[in-house]
Amino acid sequence: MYIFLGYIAGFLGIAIGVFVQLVLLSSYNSFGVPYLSPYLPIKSLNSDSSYFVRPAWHREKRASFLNTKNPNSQEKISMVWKFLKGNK
Amino acid sequence: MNNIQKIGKFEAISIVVMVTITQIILNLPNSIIINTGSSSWLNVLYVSIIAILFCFLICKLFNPFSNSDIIDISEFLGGKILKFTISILYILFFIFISSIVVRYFSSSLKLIYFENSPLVFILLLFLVPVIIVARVGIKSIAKVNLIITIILSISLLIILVFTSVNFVPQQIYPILGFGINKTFISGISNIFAFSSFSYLYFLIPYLKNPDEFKKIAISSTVISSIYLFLSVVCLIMVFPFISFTEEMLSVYLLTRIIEFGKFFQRVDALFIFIWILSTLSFLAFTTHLIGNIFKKITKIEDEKELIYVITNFIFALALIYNNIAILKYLQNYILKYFTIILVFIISLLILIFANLKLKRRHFNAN
Repeated sequence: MYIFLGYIAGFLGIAIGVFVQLVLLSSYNSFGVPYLSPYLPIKSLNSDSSYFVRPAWHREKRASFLNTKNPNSQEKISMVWKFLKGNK
Repeated sequence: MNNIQKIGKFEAISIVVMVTITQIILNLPNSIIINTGSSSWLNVLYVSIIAILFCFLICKLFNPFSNSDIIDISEFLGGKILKFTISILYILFFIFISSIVVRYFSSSLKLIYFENSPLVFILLLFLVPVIIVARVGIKSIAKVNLIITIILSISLLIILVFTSVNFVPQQIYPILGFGINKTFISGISNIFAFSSFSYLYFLIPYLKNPDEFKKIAISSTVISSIYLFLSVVCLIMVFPFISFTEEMLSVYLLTRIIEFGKFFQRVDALFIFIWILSTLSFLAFTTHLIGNIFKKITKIEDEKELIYVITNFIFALALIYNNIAILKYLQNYILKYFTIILVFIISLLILIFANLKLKRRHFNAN
């Protein structure tokens, strides 16, 4: 399709193809989840699954578009000190 | 309007910003510089402050009418006659602005890349995807528009930053350009640059959370002002203002002087690619908006079938303009005063009188 568009209108044709494809893809849902999530309905730029991802030890939330029952994937402090006072 | 698709805060901001940036690309700074000469940067600052104050005023006036746009408010004020008149005026305004944008950009593309192709062919290539996309719905258009606006804003910033090497600061002299009168009194007509306010009037029913309207309106106006200011400053400092008044796309001239070393040649094509996407997005949203206004006054069930008619109107109107000179005249004079009268005077008066009517009604009820 892009070869055909490029043949009939060059750069303009390819831009048209990109635009139409982006809009069509963004209108689709798969099991209630937007097809292009987490990239196109931009809810937050630096959430745990979006354009800018935090370091692995800081990713505590599950992706919001999954609508999970428990939004946290791990505790705030997931690994406590073994010999901390009170821990056995 | 109950089954209308809703959009988020960032998407709404991106729509307003995209309208302004599309106008900036299509020679809006040039129209300002023709009026005010080397004092355009001062004039844009002045006009931006007025626009921000105007924006605060609009938010205040829209506050008592929750979830209503300008057409609902005009119906409240003057009944069906006023509603019908305002709707027709806005439909004409949006069709007019879309036809100018699509014709101007197509003519520019014809000059740059498609010298041997007929203009009708280029115009059709712009309008066919609009028909396809407008049937999908405003939510998807707004989502894609957000990503396009981010890319567009970054590309414009790149242009403005990379051309700063060629700045000649002496070109802002004389600071007051054609005089105080031209800069501050008759120069106030340059507020037409904020024609994106017309989109703000219709945005409230589309918002997921109408309470965020104030944030959306103000942040989009501030971002638009910053881009307008930067583009005008760049154009004044890079080119002596008299030499490029005949140019089609003044921002395109800026892209031609950018150099990313010897390996990357003709990077302007990349910017044109992004501008094509933004023009398509602008057309798709505007066509959808016209359909929705039409739906309100006629009470038809599905406005999507109207998209064919509206796109045909835009196409026919875009073909009427004989040449670039007529197009520039329409853009610099007719559209300018049409915008000022409709968006900044008539709509403001409607909002003020509707608020007074509402207050009187509350007073009488008490």
